[in-house]
Amino acid sequence: MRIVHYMTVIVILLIIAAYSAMRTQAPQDNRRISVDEAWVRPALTSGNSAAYLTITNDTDNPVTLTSIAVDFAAMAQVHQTIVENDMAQMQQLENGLRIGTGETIRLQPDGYHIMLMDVQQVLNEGETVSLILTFDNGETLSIEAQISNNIVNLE
Amino acid sequence: MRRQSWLVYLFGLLIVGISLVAVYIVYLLMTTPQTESITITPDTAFNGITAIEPPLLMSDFTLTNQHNEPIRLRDLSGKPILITFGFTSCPDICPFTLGEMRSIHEALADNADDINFVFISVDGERDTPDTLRDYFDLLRVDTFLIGMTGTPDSVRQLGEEYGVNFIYDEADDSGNYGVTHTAGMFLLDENQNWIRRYTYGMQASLIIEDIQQFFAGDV
Ligand SMILES: [Cu+2]
Repeated sequence: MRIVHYMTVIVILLIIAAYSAMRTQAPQDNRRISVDEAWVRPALTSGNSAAYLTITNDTDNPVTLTSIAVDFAAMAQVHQTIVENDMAQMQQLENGLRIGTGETIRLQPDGYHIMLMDVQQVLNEGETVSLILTFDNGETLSIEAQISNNIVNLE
Repeated sequence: MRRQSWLVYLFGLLIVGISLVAVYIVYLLMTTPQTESITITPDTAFNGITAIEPPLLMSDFTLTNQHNEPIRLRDLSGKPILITFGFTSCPDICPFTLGEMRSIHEALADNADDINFVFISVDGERDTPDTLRDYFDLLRVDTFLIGMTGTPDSVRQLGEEYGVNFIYDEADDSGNYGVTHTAGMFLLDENQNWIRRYTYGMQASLIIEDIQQFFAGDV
């Protein structure tokens, strides 16, 4: 009878051990930051453009998009469009864009965008450009974005 | 004694079973992501359309079009006019609005040529007629859009009547500057009376519906 008691305790301990091992060795590839639906506005040389995309954070910690690197514009920053009295204004998110655990944030017209300043080449519809996003956890994502001017609010 | 140890054994199994279920539930709870997305929901009470009552006859003005020819507002009388103000190095708002104009033009189908689409530049220093033309080509609105550019002073003066304002932001090191300006669209009837204001960011389908109603004579 004592042996059965011990057995029960051992089995429970084994299960707990197995579970914690499962937690720590969980496959890294489904706990990551992903970016979808990236597109960029057309622009003339020395004009400005904007990139829109959807970021999902499936990691165990909140992350912040801290910088964006592109080779087709002089500067890239995360901006927020604020409409006040029908005047649209943009503000830089000085501390970057924070994405909570399990959260999905859509950068879209009238909300957030990646501002692309002083475009160095004509951005023609149908072409693609690449952007490199860096997050505060050290993760770097290289993405391809389609140049498009299709509107999103027709529905 | 034998019976008792069996009971204990069953009890042990039960505990193991419950623990397995509990661990599984905890695992599910910890791995299910809470999906939360930020969406901008417009004010439900206001659909974005402001009717100008009574309609206001707009003053005439002369600017330069994308073919470097003088153009007067009165040259366009006889057809309704859909007007927007902006600048060609605008990153977000102007391409958005011109994308909407493209959709409106497409959606109006048979009536598409019965209305003038106009873009007035608030950045005459940089927006030369050539720049306007290149920009319209780029945004594929060149086949129907009429561009108008001129000195900032003249545009500021005519814009006042539409409630349009614009502010030049400070230039960066490379001389690049943004212009904060009034967004949205303005509809004038064929006699150049201002009848509608369409708020920036409103559903384009509502603008299309409203203009179709105008053509059907319901406005
Ligand atoms: Cu911006």
